[in-house]
Amino acid sequence: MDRRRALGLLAGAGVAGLAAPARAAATPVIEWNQHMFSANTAKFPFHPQAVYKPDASSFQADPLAAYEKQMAETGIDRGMLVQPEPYGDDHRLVLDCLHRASPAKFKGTSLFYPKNPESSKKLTALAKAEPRIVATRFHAHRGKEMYLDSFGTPYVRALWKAAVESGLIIELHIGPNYALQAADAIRAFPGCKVLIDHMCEPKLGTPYEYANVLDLAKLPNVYMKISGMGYIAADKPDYPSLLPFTSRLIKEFGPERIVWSDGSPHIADVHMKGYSAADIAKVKGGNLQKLLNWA
Amino acid sequence: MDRRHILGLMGAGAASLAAGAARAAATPVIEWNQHMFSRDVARFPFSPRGTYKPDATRLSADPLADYQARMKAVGIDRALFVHPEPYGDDHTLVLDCLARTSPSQFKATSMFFPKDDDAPAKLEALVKQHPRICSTRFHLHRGNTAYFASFAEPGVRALWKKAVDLNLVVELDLGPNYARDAGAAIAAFPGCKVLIDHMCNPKTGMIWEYGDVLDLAKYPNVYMKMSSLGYMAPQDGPDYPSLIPYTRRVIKEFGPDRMVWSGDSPHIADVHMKGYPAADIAKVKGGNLQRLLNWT
Repeated sequence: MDRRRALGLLAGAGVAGLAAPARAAATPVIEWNQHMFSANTAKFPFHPQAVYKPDASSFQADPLAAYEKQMAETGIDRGMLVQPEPYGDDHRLVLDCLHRASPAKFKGTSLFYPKNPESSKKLTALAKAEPRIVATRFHAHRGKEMYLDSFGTPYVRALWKAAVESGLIIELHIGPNYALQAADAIRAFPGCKVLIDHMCEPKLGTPYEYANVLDLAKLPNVYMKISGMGYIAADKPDYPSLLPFTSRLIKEFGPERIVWSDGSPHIADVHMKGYSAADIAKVKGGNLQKLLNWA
Repeated sequence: MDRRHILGLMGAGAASLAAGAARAAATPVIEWNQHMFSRDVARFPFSPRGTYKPDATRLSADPLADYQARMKAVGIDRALFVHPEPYGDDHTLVLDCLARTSPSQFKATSMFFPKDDDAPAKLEALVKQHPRICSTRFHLHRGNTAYFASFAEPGVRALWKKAVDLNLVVELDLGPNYARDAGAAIAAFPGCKVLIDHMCNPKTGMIWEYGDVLDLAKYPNVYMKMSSLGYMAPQDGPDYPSLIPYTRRVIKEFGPDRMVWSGDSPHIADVHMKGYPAADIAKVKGGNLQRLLNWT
């Protein structure tokens, strides 16, 4: 190699090295985790079929303002408002928040009762009327078996199909013992986009069941959310005691399909030590930006 | 590359494969798992300090003969008698079994109470008198915290040191929540030989704690025993294929040179190591223990 060529390559590498931090700095931090709960239960009542009903007296009058303040404090640029279970399939509060906020800053998720024969139709209607609703969620883990009997049931498959046809992401709040049957459903809808909540709730399974969770990484378009660390470790705010666990989880899904949420985005820096700044930026928001096509 | 060179390489590859298969066939199958329990409680009484006491009426009159029959049935060549907890630190039954068998076929393990000041001296006396005792075991997991609370306790470290000085293998019947604590003890005795029982009892730990178990693979001479799969997947015997996503990862972390099959049939190693060369599977079935125990 001649000197000119070597210098050219070095300069190219320098530019590439500079470009990566610039890209990382330009990547928004996006959180997909926050529930909105309102103290105003007259305007936003809990659903009669809600699987739990929180104490509304502890809620903010304006949860959106409180969340925006928290976002500013922790450096979150954009957020997904996650439809909470107590409101069931009544999305008025999430929609109210979306309508009061910029489309550039917030999107929302949905929730339906899979056993309800009307759910697929309701989902299609909601997604059509409110394009900022970009996902629907299924719950199934130990202690939460009431929504569905199996991911193989016709009613789950029908709702999943409606979501895929509406271009929604499937959000799975599942436990490790449901990973195998969830994999079958994912395979049944090639190309469907899936986000697994809270590291697949490791508190609700065994180490050998969790291997089936890690196997979900073999399926394309399956993203894993690293969140809920405070439920399994006490060493907040960064939970370094979990590194032997999170490092393996991140390795299996890879930095292209891991999504940070919950607490401070600094958690991604701690749990991805050794990864490039560009990779960490993807996990803090770049992956969600791409998944949601959120320019 | 010319044709002669290619054919030469192919010939060398075939020869290497054939040599590997021959080595695999010559490697003994060794199990390190079987407890001996005798119905004869007058001759082999349970220890008053035993953490549990089995129903003696359901035990065999001749556990050794039963085990030898099972070994023959499933193709086990050699074995270690694992001293059971109910006998405490009274090794009479294990020693009786050793005395009735060939040194080329059986060795055994021991157990002591780490809180006893004289446990290291007892261990040394036992091993000096009975060199076929090649290991001592520590128990600590959720549901079995009777012996000690931490591997940092002076009694544990003293017993561990004595085991290392006697060139014994330290056997750990451990739970995932104690893996980090055990790792500190392993690090304190560089080069010590350790065998972790039963995949580190995953049923007694949390998923994130199991990350600490896998981290133990970074220490040299730490071996992982793939056993007790029936406790995790009782519906899925005899080969437990539903556990393959799990066992595959554990095998990958420790590698085929530090995995040890035991329990049920050695065919489990074939099923759970599908894709590995025969020579690697033979190591897991017995070659690794043969090397670890220097058992020619």
